[in-house]
Amino acid sequence: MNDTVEIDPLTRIEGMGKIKVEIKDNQLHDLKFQITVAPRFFEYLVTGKRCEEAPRLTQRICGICYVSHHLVSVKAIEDAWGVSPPETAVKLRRVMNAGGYVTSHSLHSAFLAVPDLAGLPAEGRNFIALMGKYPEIGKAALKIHAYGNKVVEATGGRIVQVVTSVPGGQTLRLKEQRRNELVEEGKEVLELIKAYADFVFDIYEEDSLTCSQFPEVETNFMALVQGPHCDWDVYDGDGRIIGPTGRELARFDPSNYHEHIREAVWEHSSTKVPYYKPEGVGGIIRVGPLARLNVANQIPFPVAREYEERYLELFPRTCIQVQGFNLARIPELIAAQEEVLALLEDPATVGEDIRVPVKSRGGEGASFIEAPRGILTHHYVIDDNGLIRYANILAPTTYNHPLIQQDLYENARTYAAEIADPATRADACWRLEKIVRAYDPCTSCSVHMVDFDVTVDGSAVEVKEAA
Amino acid sequence: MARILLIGLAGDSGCQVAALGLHEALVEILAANEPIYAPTLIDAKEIPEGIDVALVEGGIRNTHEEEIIKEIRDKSSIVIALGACAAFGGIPGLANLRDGKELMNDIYSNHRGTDRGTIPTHLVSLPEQHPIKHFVKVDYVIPGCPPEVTDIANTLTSLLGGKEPEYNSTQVCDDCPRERLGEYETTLKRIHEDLPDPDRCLLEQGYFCMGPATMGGCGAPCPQSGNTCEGCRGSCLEVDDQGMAMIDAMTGLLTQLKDGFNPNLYSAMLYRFTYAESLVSEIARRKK
Repeated sequence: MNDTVEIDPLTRIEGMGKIKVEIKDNQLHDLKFQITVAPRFFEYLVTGKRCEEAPRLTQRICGICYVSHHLVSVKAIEDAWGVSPPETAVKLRRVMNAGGYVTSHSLHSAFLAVPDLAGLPAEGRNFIALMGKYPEIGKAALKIHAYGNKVVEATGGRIVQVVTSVPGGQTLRLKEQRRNELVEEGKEVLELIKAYADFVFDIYEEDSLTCSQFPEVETNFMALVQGPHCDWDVYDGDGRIIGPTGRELARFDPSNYHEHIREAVWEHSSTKVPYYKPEGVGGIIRVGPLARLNVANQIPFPVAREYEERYLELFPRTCIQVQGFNLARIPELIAAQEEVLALLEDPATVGEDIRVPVKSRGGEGASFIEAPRGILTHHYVIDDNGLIRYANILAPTTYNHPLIQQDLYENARTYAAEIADPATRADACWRLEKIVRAYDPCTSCSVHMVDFDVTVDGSAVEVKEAA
Repeated sequence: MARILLIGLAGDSGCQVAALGLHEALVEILAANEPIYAPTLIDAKEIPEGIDVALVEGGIRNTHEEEIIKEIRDKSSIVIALGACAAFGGIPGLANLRDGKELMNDIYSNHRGTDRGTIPTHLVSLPEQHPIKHFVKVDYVIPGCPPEVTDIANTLTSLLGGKEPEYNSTQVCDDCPRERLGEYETTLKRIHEDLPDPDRCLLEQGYFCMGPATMGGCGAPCPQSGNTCEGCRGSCLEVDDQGMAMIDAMTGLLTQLKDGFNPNLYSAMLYRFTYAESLVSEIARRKK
């Protein structure tokens, strides 16, 4: 007996995608995870353009992690030109980046992921229903998200797309009065975040079943780290790759990323998949909150650190449990808010020296940033007129894409009979959707230039290096 | 209780995130009405019949998106293009400057750092990015990249209250507090190469600000933050081609320029959001 089950569209994810499962005689025959957003060719869009346009153009890759694209783009140009922006500019950018985390992580958690965890009825797993059942939590989430937006607007000039980062610094100062308002509200918001964090942690700590039905697939992990002790940092630092047991495989700065990362073109699909070069195309790397808490030694903010310890009780390193993603976001949300507050209270953040004028010239540069969904790389070659001649963008979801596929495959194989049976199908398919949501895939990012149509034909992801 | 649809096609979900910027107001609007299909927020899998208001983000670049927009049109009383991609093609429309096949070839076979691959044959991409009005009738446009939350709120509350939403009839310069003296620099400058006077018109100082050719109503946040207007709200009412309108508005500056003006270098500025629907792209298409 053959059954084809389609989950179309996947809901409560960023962008459009679907899953198609084929089952023969209660055994999994095939599973396709497809992203249906059309390609938008961003690397081409910036090629031949003036480099200073790139931070404004490439942020349109993603309406959620636009701050990450904007900032990593300007950092890559500054790397190419050997330019260091003034201290105040760097602090303003860090504030903007942390504010972006507050909006992105609160949005994913409250609107997309937590409605699955909060015991809501199947027909109403969404934010509106969450707000109905837990009004205080819903209101807190809205306030947290709104505050992140305010921080981004104060430093980036507007929300959803920002305008203030140019090579050499920032175009907008943060004045003291605005800073003071943000500090005052920010302290209240930190308390709201802690209450929200306790709500999510309680769910995980009380329900051991939350994880047991999900696959555990061994992979490498990569994240940014800062300093000799490999501290968590989401703005700048070195890329660090660890193996499935936690052993360090590589630590490198952005200018050397080509020595460690290559992109494969899959024979049977059209995605490009980054892999750890020394291991060949099988050296798949997982990125995002789970990777960051596996790879970085610790979060250097006190409240977040407490929650990180709580997280590690449930998901000790090196965690390969996909449900760890949703909880790993919570200590990071706290860390982002603590970073916002620490920077706002630093007198240098309200300084007047925000920019040095720089001449356009030739050069090659690359930079890393941790987007909320994982490490993001922009790499440009700029000609003597300051026009971009080569652009390469490695977005986090391209790393995770084969893992999502593989996790879905493993899970559908285990629960093939339940998927085939109409009586149990809804719950089995819900489990598949929860796997996708845990990764917080950014489908727009992942198709910043190519279509996806990925198939896995066996227990391992089959990737062939193209000739 | 109106039945509302909210969907994103070839875009980046930014417009939906902008709508979330309404926060409590959005929750109130949704709770007072019936959100029946909104994949980013709720789990409904089928586009239902009898939609009152459909908000569509993103343009069209593959046949899947083309089918969806036609289905939405068939089932909806009112279709609103939300944001620049749905309304004008948006930034992805700039890729129309290049042949689709050449693009694929470059990406798969000729990109440094990527293993040399074969061009996939299963793609159902369209050769160009289009705004949704290329395929279906659009009743209202909420412009911008991102759209302003106040525009989203005003449009929704007007329509749900049975009133016609009003379009802004100003230009971005009307919102901009920077002073205009009618005197121009003799060279065009790049934003990182100098520090502009914070109180004077950026265009008069030689920075390529699209304000004069762009629909107002946003409050001019970009020039007020020290950077140029990108033109994300498209052209002013009753103007067909934003780039040509900009050239027209720049006459005072263009006549002063020592080194002349090369429009090719400014294509991604003149038409950053509107190339897909511009007159120049139509001319290019007819030449082929």
